[in-house]
Parts: sequence; C-alpha cells; structure tokens
Amino acid sequence: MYSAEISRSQPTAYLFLVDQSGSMADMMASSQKSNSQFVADVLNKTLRDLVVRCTRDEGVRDYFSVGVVGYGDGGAKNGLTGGLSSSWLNPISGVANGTLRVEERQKMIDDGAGGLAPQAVKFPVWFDAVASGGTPMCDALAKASEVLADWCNVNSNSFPPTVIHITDGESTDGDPENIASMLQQISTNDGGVLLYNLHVSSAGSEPVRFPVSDSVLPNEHAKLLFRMSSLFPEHVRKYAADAHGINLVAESRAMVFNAEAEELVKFLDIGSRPAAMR
Amino acid sequence: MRLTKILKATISKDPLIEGSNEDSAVLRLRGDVQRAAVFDGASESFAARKWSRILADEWGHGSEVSPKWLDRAQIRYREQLDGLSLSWAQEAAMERGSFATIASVEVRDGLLDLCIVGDSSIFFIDSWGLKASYPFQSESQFSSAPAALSSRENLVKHNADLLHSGRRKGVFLNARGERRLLLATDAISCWLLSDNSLLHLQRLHQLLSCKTSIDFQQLVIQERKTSAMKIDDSTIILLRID
Repeated sequence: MYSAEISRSQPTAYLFLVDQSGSMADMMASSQKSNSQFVADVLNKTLRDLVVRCTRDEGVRDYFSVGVVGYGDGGAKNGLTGGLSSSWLNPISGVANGTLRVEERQKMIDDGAGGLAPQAVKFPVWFDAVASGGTPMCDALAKASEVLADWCNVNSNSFPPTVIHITDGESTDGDPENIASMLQQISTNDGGVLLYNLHVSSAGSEPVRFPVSDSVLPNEHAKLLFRMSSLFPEHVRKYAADAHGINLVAESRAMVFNAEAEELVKFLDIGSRPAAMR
Repeated sequence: MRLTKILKATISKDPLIEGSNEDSAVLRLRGDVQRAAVFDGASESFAARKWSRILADEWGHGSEVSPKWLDRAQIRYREQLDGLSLSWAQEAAMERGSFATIASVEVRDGLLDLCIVGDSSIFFIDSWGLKASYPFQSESQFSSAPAALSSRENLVKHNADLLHSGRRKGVFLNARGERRLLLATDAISCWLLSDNSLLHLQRLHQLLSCKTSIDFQQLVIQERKTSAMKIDDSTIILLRID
C-alpha cells in the first residue's frame, strides 16, 4: 500500500480544503498577517512547488491533479478561478497556465559577503485570501468525497489522493467525523485517501505536532481532528526526517493543532511530498 | 583483450510517449577503441533526456581518463538551454539542474577500466553464472536517491569526486567458458540482483536468452506486468570479452 509510482499515465491527486470562514481574518500568532492571508501565501507557494516539480524542458508533465475547495460563506466552493473553476481537479499543466497573476516578490539571498541581499523572484498567485461566513466543514468534506470517488474510479491503480485540510475552528454544519471517515475509505488499489488536518491558531497556544495519542490534545475539537487524521505513508515520514528533522513514527497522526506560521509551512511541504515519480 | 557486442537494447518507461526515454547508451568498438557506457537521466531533472544524451555523446568522443569530457558536457548543456524562452515554471525548474548516473567500461592497457556513479551497474558473467557485480550485490542496496553527475556549474568538483571514487580496475579471474560483461541501468540491475537465488538465476538466464532488442523489450514488459521489475527506462549493453 502507498507504494504506487507516480507517472503521467498513473498520476496522483492533491486536494486542498481551505477554511474561509470569518474568523480566518484574525491575525495569525507569530505573524504580521491574518490567518487567511498567510494560508493563501503558503498555498500559492505549495501550488508553485507542485508545478515546478513537474516542469521539464519540454513542458509540464501531468504527474498530479490538483484542486482547492474553499469553504465559508455560501458553503463549499471551487477555490480556483478563471479557467480552473470549471473543474474541481485540474491537471497540473492546467494549473501552471491558470494563474490569476504572477507577482514579483523579494527573496533574501546570501550576498557572498556575509550578509543578505534582496533578489526579485516571480511569485505566481492562484488563490486570494477570503474570510467570511461560518465554517461548513461537512459540506467541504462531502464535496471532497464526491470529487475523489470519481477520480479514484478513473485512476484505480494510482497512488491515492491526498487531502490537506486547513481550518481555524469547529464545524458549523454538523459533526464532520463520519464524513471524514467515509472520505478516507475511498481508495485506489494502492490505498485509501490520505486526510491531513492542520488547525491554525490566533491564540499563540503551544502547537501540538503529529501526535501519536489524543491524550496530549487540549480539547474535544482537537481530539476530533485527531480521529479524522490519517497515518503518514513511509516515504512521507522519511522526507519529514530528511528535510525538516521531524521524527515521525508509524503511529504519528497527520495533524497539527494550534499551528503557527512555521508549522503551516512545514505541514504543507511535508503533506504535498509525492512518492517516487518517474 | 577485445570486446564484442552481443546486444544493445533499451525500452522507455512509457513506450507510448514518444521521446520519453531518458537513458542513453554508447558503444565504440573500433580498432584500439574499446568502450561502452550506459547513462540514466534522473526523471526529476529539468532536462534528463538532454543531459544523458549530451553526456553519452561527450563520453563517447572523449579519450581522456580525466573528467574534461564532463566539463564539455556541462558547457554544451548550458549552450542548449541559453536563450530559450522559458515560462516562470521552467525558469524555476531549470535551477534544479539535471542529473544522470553512469556505468562505463573501457579496455586500457589490457585491463578493464570501469567507472560507476549511482546505481547503473556492471556485471561480470561466465558460463556458470554471475561472477561479480558493481556497485551493488543485492537488490536491497538500491535506493531512491543515487549519486548522479550534475549539470550544475557549482557541482564541478562534486562531479569530479564522483568520477574519481567510481573508478575501478577490473580483471576477470577464474572465469569458466564464455566471459560476458553486462552494463545495465537500475531497473534491470535491481531486478537481476534478486535476493532470492532461484529467481536470480532464472532472471539471468532470461536476460542472456534475449537475442534481439524486441526480445529484451518483451521481457521487460512481461516483468513489469507482474511488478517483478520497476517501471523505469531500461537499457543494457551486453558484451563478450575475448
């Protein structure tokens, strides 16, 4: 299980579920940005990294299908716009060509004299920050189930889809646990859908990262997210150790509670790390 | 000592996608020149196919032991990419560079001069079976991140170190019957080095029974179907040593 190689004839899928409720306008702990702004930046960077990973001299190879489900005011909606809004999952080549805009931002690099110097980098944007309405998490998980059931039927031998869910609060449209469980039961021949949950915090409380037991979690909502979270496949655990020095064991749940900026960046990097591509 | 070609064959990971094979192979067996090599372009590279082909071409035309041929390959690679109109994604991906493994053999002063970087492999075979293999002896030694020659200018010393540490002088002692030398990229090598000794012998026999490229391609396709062999570009050069 979770060993299928990823290729153009056997792609995998990444679906990002993003909470766009009104409370996402709160400032993120240890950041100068709101939760929604920071999540938008990190999501755009993650989409960029996925595109670059598939880009070759001859063009973009369709190793991945990618989608964003935003949920807030009005329920679950396609988080991508323009030509990408007509489909919940788009081939990565379509994502590459479907930016809202390409901004120029500054990156600090080694100036070769012991200091740092700004360097202009192109920063593609697909997803703008939104924060409005309630937290219809059940609707978002149900939409993900519908989209990924269809995808798995068509791509039955592929590495199973990964769902990366980012939220700052509790569901306002019911208990999401059963829907999350059903989502994880949707499968290809290589395993069930992987569901990773990240709870972002404005409170500055101590983050809980990749717990092996719910006993370390501070409240019932955190315990609910624990039960909704998958275990990591081996290649992801290895990547977390090699790239970030994070020691994940087989029982580690794919969740972070009270995440601040640094956890969010690492979580998306680890969560979007594919198995072997060929 | 002379090398004679028995079979040179390759098959892409995606036979239906034209131009998808990122392996390259070189065979130069004329007069005093006795050399052969396989190169495996790493799929995550920006331009794996281009890099492995340039490497193969420069290695094939080079005659020096020093890594000057690799410097020339890096220059040619840069020249081929310079001036291209690139998207933001291609600009970013190009910074990653391109990578390829090598397994080469050359007759020098009556000895076999081998060079191996990464998990492309060389096998010494006689009438009784496999006598030795480099760099690995077991399928468990193959990893997902082998060492590889890089197209990046800032890795010139790294490349030179890899080539230096990958060199071996080989002699083929105690061989019985016909002596053969097999160069293979990693999917074939890993499959051949099965830890199951019966499977290993069976697979060696199957591979040596291939008389044509089509035989080889059919064998690979069959082994991929049963998941016995990794789906990857696969290339071999099989030589007889006289």
